Amino acid sequence: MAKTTTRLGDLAYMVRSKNAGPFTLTFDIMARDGEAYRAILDSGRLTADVIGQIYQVSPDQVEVFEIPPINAIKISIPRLVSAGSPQDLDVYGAQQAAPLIELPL
Amino acid sequence: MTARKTNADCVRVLAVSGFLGYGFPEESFWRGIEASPDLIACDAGTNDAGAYYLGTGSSMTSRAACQRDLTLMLDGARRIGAPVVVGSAWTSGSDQGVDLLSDIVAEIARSSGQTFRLARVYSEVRPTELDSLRSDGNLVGIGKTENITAEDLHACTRIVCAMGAEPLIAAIEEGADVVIAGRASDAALFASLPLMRRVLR
Repeated sequence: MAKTTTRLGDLAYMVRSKNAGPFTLTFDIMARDGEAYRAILDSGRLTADVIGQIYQVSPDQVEVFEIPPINAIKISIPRLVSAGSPQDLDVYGAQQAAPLIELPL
Repeated sequence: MTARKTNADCVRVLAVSGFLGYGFPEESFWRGIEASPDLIACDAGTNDAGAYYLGTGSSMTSRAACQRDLTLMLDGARRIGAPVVVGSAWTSGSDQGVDLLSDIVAEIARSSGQTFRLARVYSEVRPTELDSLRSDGNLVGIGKTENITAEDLHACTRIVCAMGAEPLIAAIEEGADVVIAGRASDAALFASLPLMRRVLR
């Protein structure tokens, strides 16, 4: 039987993205339960380096907030272009979570 | 307006929806009104979508949708004697947006035969005002707005300041039944009456 890789989307019931103002993109990751939350954190994959690589921003611009009481992690990064500018392909930033959902842990 | 009982330890605020003109089920609204809130508040703005709405002075939600939401809010407010506060009028909170939304309030008042004391709180500033702050070193940027130049300021079609709760409190204290505010922090709308009554410090 092939070894299956756990993805972030398997352990979280919600992974979503949204603008936080026109210059910042923010991600909410809500784990299914406490066990899943610990597994996500223990994987050591949600680091500034990994996030920076995925979204092409410098790791020192990545903010990762852990919110244990609600089994959630919030990540904020600067947008490459400001919301609604001519180069912007996702005005509300709501379509940017897919690479995180697929992230192998 | 009918006299209201006030509870010194508790202020109830009804947030009708996340954004004026997004709509909300009438049934939920009336259930909220039955809880006898002290304030009915709704945000009407965002800058998440970028500079478009501020630059063009347009609204993200339609006039008809704003009118529908406001009609219910004013009807509910009149029945329980609670003030209505709407912030960041017409998406960007421009001065003309405050006026356009105030026009809708006036239309609703006329067509329903109601009388409201309306406060308009403006938030626009001129580039020259900000430029004089900048040259005195009193304009501090945050995030990507660091190192703002005189050219940046003068290139702006329109600039709004984000207000806190203070001007909203002043309007309510002066007896406004309806406050239509320019650019405001969402939190300020909901904190206004609790701060005014000193339930929130």
